[in-house]
Amino acid sequence: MKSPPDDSIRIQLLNSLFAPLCVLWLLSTGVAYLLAVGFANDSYDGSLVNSADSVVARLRYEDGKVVADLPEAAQEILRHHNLDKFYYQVVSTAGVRITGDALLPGPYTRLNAKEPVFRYATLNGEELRIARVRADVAGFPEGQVLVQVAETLHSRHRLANQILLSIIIPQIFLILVGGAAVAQNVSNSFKPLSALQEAIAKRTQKDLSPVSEENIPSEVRPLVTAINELLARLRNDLETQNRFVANAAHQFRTPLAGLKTYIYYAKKLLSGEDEAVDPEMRRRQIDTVLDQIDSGTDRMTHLANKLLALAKTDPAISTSRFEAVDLNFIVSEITSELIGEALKKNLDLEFMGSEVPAIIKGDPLNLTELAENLIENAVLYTEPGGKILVTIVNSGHVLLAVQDNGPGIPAEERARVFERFYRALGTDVPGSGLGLPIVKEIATAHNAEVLITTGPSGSGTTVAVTFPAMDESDRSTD
Amino acid sequence: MRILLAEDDRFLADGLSLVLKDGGYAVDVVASGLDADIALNQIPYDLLILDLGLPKIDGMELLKRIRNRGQLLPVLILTARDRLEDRVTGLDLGANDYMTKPFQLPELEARIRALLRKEQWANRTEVTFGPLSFNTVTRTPAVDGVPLELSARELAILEIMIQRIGRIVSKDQITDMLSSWDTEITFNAIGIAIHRLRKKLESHGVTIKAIRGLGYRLEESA
Repeated sequence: MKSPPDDSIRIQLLNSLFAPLCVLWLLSTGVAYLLAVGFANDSYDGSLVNSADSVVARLRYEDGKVVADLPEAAQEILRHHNLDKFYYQVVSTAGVRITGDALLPGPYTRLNAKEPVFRYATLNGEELRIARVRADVAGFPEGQVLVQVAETLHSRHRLANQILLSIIIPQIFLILVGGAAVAQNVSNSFKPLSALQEAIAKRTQKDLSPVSEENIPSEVRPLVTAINELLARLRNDLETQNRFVANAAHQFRTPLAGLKTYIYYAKKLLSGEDEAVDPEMRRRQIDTVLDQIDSGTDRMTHLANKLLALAKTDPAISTSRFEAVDLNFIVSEITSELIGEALKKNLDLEFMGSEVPAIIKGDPLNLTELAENLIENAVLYTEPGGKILVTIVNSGHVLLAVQDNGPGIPAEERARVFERFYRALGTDVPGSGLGLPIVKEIATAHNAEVLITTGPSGSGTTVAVTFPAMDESDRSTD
Repeated sequence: MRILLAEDDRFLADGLSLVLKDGGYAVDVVASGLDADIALNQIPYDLLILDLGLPKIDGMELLKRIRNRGQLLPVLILTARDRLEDRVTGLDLGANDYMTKPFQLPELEARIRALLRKEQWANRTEVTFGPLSFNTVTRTPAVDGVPLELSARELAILEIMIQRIGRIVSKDQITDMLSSWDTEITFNAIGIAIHRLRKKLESHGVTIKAIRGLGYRLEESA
């Protein structure tokens, strides 16, 4: 199994649940341990005081001396714990030893305390707990003595260890069970996600139907909704694309039929030997047919190029390739390229650039394509002897206008000419029905508006493309 | 036979018109549904070849108009639309045949012949008149099985006469059927062609009798 990556929500969730859980566990264990050991100590200390009291009960004043009548057997009883050694000592209130174990460190502080006093000390490398009480001794001229009893800490330590274990073992068990429960729950709450993943993974690339929003947790629903919106857009795009391809295929059918017709006719001319036709005349006829075939293939090439151009601008021109360009430069260049075509038709094609540079952000190739289509259209549809004026104006917004005095586009057709393959002006001229759709596509990608109006003299066509004003920030980058 | 070709793609229309004229038909070309409508109102065409995607009046709409007017000429739809619905709609609106582009020319020619044969010859592939026989498929006249050598114009005139055996055919009718807009045939030219045709037929026992003021009729010579 692959270990989940660091950015796994599951791991993050488990970490964020486990870490505090562990700290809490350590704290509670520590506190419980300290409290338990404290209580145990108090109880041991109480026993120690009892032992001290027992020693006090055995004190007598005899022959001017305070003595403790503690035979070995009595000492054995006072030692509560087999593991531990027991010591006692009787000291004067001034701190001078009267009787008992000499090795026991004497009382050092709070000699006047009436309550029992406890302290730790070390004897022969072993830790001791010492309890000291003040006691009256009948007949003793000084009145009171201090009695110290002490024991080693072995049984205390053993008890502490037992307490620690009795706390830690259930806690470990608890933490394991708790951890497993948390992990399981986290895992469970991710099940809808796995189901979603599976449902999407199982799809074929053609299945763009919406993902079911049933049984989806509310946190994930926005994601599913977003996916469904994307799918809907894809579906729409695909349909548009399919329609476009179907349309494109249709566009080729008619010129193909034309080509076949001319080829058939040429073959017929070549095989028609029986008719008494002048060979020179037949050669001329065949020449004409070949010319037709030639222009037909030209037209299909043109159509194919337009389709390719449209496919390239489709579905979106990448704005990342945009650069600051002077539209004057692009348009004047393409205009001069088309001058030849215009002259062939005896058209007056004129270019008027703007006085100040017309800088816009855009893709130079696509902008060239846009201008080419506009001017080409004007050249195609304007009758010989006509006039075409290409102008660029920079008045904050950059405007490219192509005006002609051709037949014009009726107002009610102006919206439809942007539809692919729609040819408002009929098909007498070799247009592709794709020019203006390409213009529209490129303009939209540049946030530009395309407007078709009647030409300046009340006839003909003006196509105006208005580009958005450039930001100051854009301007400073050039 | 005079055919109206309604096709807005000039490249295809010009090519088809060349091929059809070469096949001996008179062909007029229109590039819009409106022009086709006007032409059909004025000239009794023998066949309409109709593209569906026509400007001004759509092909389907035009077909509806023709049939509503009671014009019975055969209609062959020639279109890029290859969907089943389009074909069904076209045929149901009264088209007699439906071909999608691109098409095979020999097939188109055969279908045109078939449509015209049904219309003009009631589906007969051979018509006989005395010793004269006429194969409507190959458009060849023969006498006792021997093919007759005729020019294209003579053949066209003979075809019209055989179609109307027993009836008088006027010079106007012949002119209308043999002319197209770009090749107007004069009465004089028709007279010359009929004269030559009569000469070629007479030795075989068939003649074309001129009926003053009315026209011509095919008759067996005594």
